[in-house]
This record gives sequence, C-alpha cells and structure tokens, in this order.
Amino acid sequence: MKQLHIYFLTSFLFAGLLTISGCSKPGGGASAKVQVQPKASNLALLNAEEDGGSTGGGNNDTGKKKSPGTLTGQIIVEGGVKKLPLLVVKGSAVKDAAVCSAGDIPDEKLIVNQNGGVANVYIYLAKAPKNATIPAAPKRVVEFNNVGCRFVPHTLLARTGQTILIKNKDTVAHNTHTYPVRNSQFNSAVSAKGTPLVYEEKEKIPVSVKCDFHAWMKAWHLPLNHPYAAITDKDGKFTIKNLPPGKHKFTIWHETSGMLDGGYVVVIDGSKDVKINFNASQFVTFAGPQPKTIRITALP
Amino acid sequence: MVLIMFVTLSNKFFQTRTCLFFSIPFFLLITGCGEHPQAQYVTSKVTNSLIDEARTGKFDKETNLNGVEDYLSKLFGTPAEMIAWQRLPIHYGGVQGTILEVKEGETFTVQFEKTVNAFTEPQPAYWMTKSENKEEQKGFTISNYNPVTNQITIQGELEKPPVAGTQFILNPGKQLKRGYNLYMQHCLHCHGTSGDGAGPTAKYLSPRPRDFRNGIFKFKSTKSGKKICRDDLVTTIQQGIPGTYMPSFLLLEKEELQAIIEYVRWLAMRGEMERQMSLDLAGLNSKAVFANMLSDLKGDEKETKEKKMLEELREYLQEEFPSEVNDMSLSISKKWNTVEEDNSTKIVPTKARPVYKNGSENFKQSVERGRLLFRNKQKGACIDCHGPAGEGNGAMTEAYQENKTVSPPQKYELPGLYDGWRNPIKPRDLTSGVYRGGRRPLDIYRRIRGGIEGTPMNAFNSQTLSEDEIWDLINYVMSLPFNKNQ
Repeated sequence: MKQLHIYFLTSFLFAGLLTISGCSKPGGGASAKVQVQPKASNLALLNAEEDGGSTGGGNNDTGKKKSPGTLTGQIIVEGGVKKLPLLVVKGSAVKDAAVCSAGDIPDEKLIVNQNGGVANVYIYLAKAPKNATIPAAPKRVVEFNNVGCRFVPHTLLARTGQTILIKNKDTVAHNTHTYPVRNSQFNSAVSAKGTPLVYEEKEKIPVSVKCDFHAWMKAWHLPLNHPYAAITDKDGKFTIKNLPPGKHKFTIWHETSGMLDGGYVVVIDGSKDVKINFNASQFVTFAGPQPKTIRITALP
Repeated sequence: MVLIMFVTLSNKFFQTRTCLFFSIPFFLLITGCGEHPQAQYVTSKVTNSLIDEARTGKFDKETNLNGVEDYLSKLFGTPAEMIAWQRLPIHYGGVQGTILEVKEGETFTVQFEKTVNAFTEPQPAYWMTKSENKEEQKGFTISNYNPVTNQITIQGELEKPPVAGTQFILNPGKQLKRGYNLYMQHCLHCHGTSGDGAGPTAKYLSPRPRDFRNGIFKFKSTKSGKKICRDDLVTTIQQGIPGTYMPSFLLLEKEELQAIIEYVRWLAMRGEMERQMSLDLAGLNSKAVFANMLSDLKGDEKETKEKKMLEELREYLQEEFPSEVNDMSLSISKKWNTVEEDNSTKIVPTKARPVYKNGSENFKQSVERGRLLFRNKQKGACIDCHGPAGEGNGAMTEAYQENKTVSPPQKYELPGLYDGWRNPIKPRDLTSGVYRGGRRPLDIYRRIRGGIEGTPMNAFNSQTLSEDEIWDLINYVMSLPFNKNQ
C-alpha cells in the first residue's frame, strides 16, 4: 500500500510541477503583447537647421564682400619620429615572392621628409559649404593600381559617383576589399583592364582598403561630395583651390592616429597660406595593443 | 491538489526522508513563476566606447540633446513598444485608408486601399496629419467598420477631428508584432534580442550565429555590395544553412516567414543606423580619444581642453548631427529598397550552363580546365585559401591577417583568415560536398560571381572570370567530393 502511495505522490508532483512551471506572466518573449507606434517619415527631430560649419558665399557684417581663394599650406610634425621598418624586404619569402618581394616595400604609414613635412595627411571639409555652388564631379576616372603588391596611390581622393578604376598590374591575383562606414563594402578580384569602384555616399573619415591575398597591402580612399579637399604630398604641402569666401572648418586626418584635428578653422578672404604643426606624439597608434611585428616565414 | 496529495497519505510518510526529497524540486521549479525580465535591445561595442555625452546627449542639467541612444529609442523604440518608422522600407502591416467624408463627430466615410472585412471589435489606428509643415501621427480606436456603407465609428471623442482627405492606418504594425513574437520564439536564443548573434546559445556554437546589425548577409542572390532581398531571406530560413547550426524552418507557414523576415530586416536597419551614428561620433568622441588627447596635459590646461572638446561635441549634436542622421536613414532605406525594386541587382548567369553527358569526354575536359583555373595564380588563386586539393587548408590559413575593420588596423593574435565580424573563418573544404549557401550549380555560381559578403571570399566579375571559365570551375569544384582519393 505504501508503494502505491509513493507512486501516487510522484505522479501528482510531476503533474503539479508541469502545470505550475508555466505560471508566470509573459515577459518580453514569444507570447508578449507588444505595442507598435507608427511614426511619420519626416520627423521634426531630423530636420534641424543645416549648418555645415562653413558659411561660405555670403557677405559679412561690415558689408565688405569677401572673395574666394586658394588655401595652401604645410603640415609639419615637431619632434622626431621613428623610421618604420620595411613591410617587405627584397627577396624575402613572402606570398607570391617572385612578384611581391622583387623589391623592398616600405611602410607608407608615416612618411616624414627631412623638414618634418608629413605626407598622406587628409585635409578636407567634412560637409560641403552652405550657400556655395559645388562644381560637378569631373568625368575622368581615378586610377588605383596594384603594382608590385602595393597599392598606388596609398591615399586617394574621389568624388561620390566618380569611377575609381582599380587595375592589377601584377601577374598574381589581387582583390580590393574596402571597409566603409556609409557605403557598402566592396570586395572584388581586380583585372588588368580595370575593375570599377564607385562610392555612392560621402564618408566622414577615409575608408580602409586592403587586399585579402597580401596582408601587408593597405590604402585609404576618401569619397566626398565636393572638391574642397587635399592630401599632403611628400613634403607635407597641400593646395585647395577656389574655396568659397567665409569661415571653414577643416578636418585633418592621418592613418596613424585618425583625427588629428576635427575643427581647424580658416577664414577665407582671398588666398591664404598656413603652417599646421602637430606634436610627434600624435602620430602613433593609441587604440588597443600595439600590433605584433611578425616575420612572415616561408609559404608555399 | 497539493493538499489532497498530502492528506491522502499515511502519517508515517510525513516523517520519511522521501517527502523532503520530492518537495525540494517542487519548490525549485515554481521559483520560475515570478515576472519574467523585460526584453531589451543592447547597445553595440562602438556605442559603448563613446563618452556618455555622445551616447545620451546629456551635458548638464539644462542641456539635453539627442545622443545615439536617444535617436535609437525615438526611431526604433524598445521591444515592448516598437516604433514603425514609415521612412524605412518595412512592411509593418496594417491597412492604409483615406477619410472621404466626416459625418457626425464619430462616424466617417472611408476608403481602404485593400478589401477589409467588417469588424465590430475595437481596432487601433493612427492617422498622419500635417500641422505647420511637420507630420504628426495621432492614435485612435475604431470600434467598428461597415464595408457596405464604408463607414467607421470612432471610440471616444476627438479634440481635433480630421478633415476629409486625411490618411490613416488601421492596425499598424500588425506584421511587425507578429514577427517579433515569432522571432522571440524561434530565433532569439541564437541570434539574440537585438539580432546581435549573441543569444544565450550562441557561445556554444561555431560558426557563430549571424550578427544582423551591420546589414550584411552571406548567402544571397544579389550582386556584391548589395543588400539581401526578401526572397533570399525566406530561402535561408526555409532551407537552413547546411554545415552550421542554422536549421531549416520548412514547417513555418508562409505568413509566419514573411513576418519574421520583416522583423529581421527591421533589426538589421536598426543595427545599421546605430553603427553609422556611433561611428560618426567615435572619430572625435570616444573614451579612448578623450583619454589620448588629455593624457599629456595637467590641471587647468587639461580642464580647458576637455571643456573645449565637450563644447565642440555639444555644437555638433545640436547643429549638424540631426541632418547627418537624416542622411544616414535615407541612404540605408534606399539600399534596402533597391534590391526589391531593381531586378538588375540579381546575379543571373548570362550564359546557360553547358549540358554534358555523364562521363563524356567534353565533361572531363571541362573539369580539367576548371582544375587549371583553380590553380591559376593570376585568375583567382583559389588554392591560396582553399588549398591545392580544395580542402580549405591553403597558405592564407597560416598567414597573419590584420583587423582592418578598426582604425588604425591591428594584427590578429592568431594566424588565419577572419571574417567581417572578427571571428576566425576557415575557407570552405570543397571536398566535403556541403555547400552552405545551396548546392545547386546556380548557387555556387552566385558565390563565385558575387563573392561572399563579409568574408575574404571576393567577387569575380566577368572580366576576371568569363562565363565559360566559371562553369568549368564549377564543374571542377562539384567534382571534388567525388575525387577525394585520387
């Protein structure tokens, strides 16, 4: 009889457990009663007064008409910078050595000339100036080459909608893989004739470009919807022509540390020449641990 | 019932240890019977790396601007109260109608764009009005609808009744709600509440479940760089992804599948908005940047510099950020819309696959041509990743890659390839015969022509591989599982 009682107890217990285990109020899950509130497409919250940080093209308070001009300048680093080791040493056993280590491949991450001028620094307006007529994008194509397992040029400027023709001038396969923020990623093998790449949207900071086959290859693209941008040459010098008159806020960016200055203010009234100095400590990587220096050993 | 249980037992039983043994699990199980926690959307890593002012827009007691989290809650809401933003190309559900005539205060003659059956239970509705050039929406409840007279009756009084010509939506968000409930039932445990691929089960899975929040899906029929279309999402859920933990959901009804994919698309768009907004601010306003800019300074100098940086952020959030967010939403909507409306975004072979007789000489030659293409360093260098025998053990699996999705790029600790979600990824072992995106020749054609988005597998356009070459390559690849021991 006792056995029977125990069996009864067990079965009642299990039945009880089963029924009670579901007894809570539904939370956020499959049976939750959720609400949906529709919102109109054009929200007041997004139609803020546009102020591009540049007010070009108007008269100033004193009534004197300002004239457009050219901004020239030089970006200089103060203090010594370490010379970077070569990315690929000539003759080393890297991938596709016959083509890729036919010559030395320098590290173009930080190129400084003897006077401290820094190359490959982007200086540009983050937003097109208000009240100014933006000249249309040039019809010509921008060339971006894969030569000797390097991207040439290392830094590139383009207009949105302008075709960047990526050419493979090597006898090995290369692909170009971009990592933009606003645009879609581009990842395609490139041919000798040229594979076109078009950025539809403007970017706020330059887009990282790599080759999946050869890990050391990197470059930067910046698509903008206006022509008021430049990249410093090997002496750190740049020229931006036909800037509308008025106050402009420039972004200065370099790949070692990203934003060097997010709001460099220049007032244009005729041409202007500037010298922009940065401390050497601003040209180092700061985000995360230092990358390891790996010696690429023999690969088949 | 519990009481009856104990009463029917003999006294002796009360004193036995067995009683305790049975009652402990009983109590443990009912402890789950309280309130379940509310589901919440998580913020991404980049958003968390921003300073508080950029995330919340709160500078001091007076200044309360819109930061990243504010936009997300105002444009997308929370799981309990989602926002159906009409700008996004999502089929939220519900039926649109127009008010034709206002009878008495509560009865309106309306016209729906689709046939709606008569109903007598109250249904929620919203109408969109324009006041001072700004669109607003107001909620109201329709208590019944008569399709014969085309009249609706509204519950309660309206302070400002609508005029003829006003558009309204009956039962808005119906499909989104359904999608939400189904997602939480079937998808949440791997893909997570926010679609971040970090549900409770995710940590036990390799490969990891998809993180939808960058809007990138691997197996699709659209061209490289284009979004995934609804048909592809339905296929993925119906067929599952062989070789992974994504099962086939063929038992779901078509209507359920449509609801789930709308919700997944909504989560993907929400993730993309968050990503673009936080990356827009991260350049100057992440915690790391602030720390770096202020690290060399001390005391007053440090304070003034910090004040200046915060002032610049405040100005940016007030003046420029709203229009940037506006642009982001327009471009994201456009991208998702294009793949549904524009047929030219689909990858379609321009030349039909040649048909060969089984074991014919032509077929063998095609396979041989494919084998040579597979090894061709100039054409595609397939062996670099997939290995000389297609086993997925190519040279690239031993090289150190850099993480290029962060700026500046960092080298990964371990050698091998990594995907766009920073997870290690192995090139496909083509000898296994398991093809994740589908095993038809057309599917493999799409993987080669379009590449696999978010992975090192790049696209090969018709200039890099002609139609003939790609079909030869496919013949070789599909013969690999059968030639394993040759």
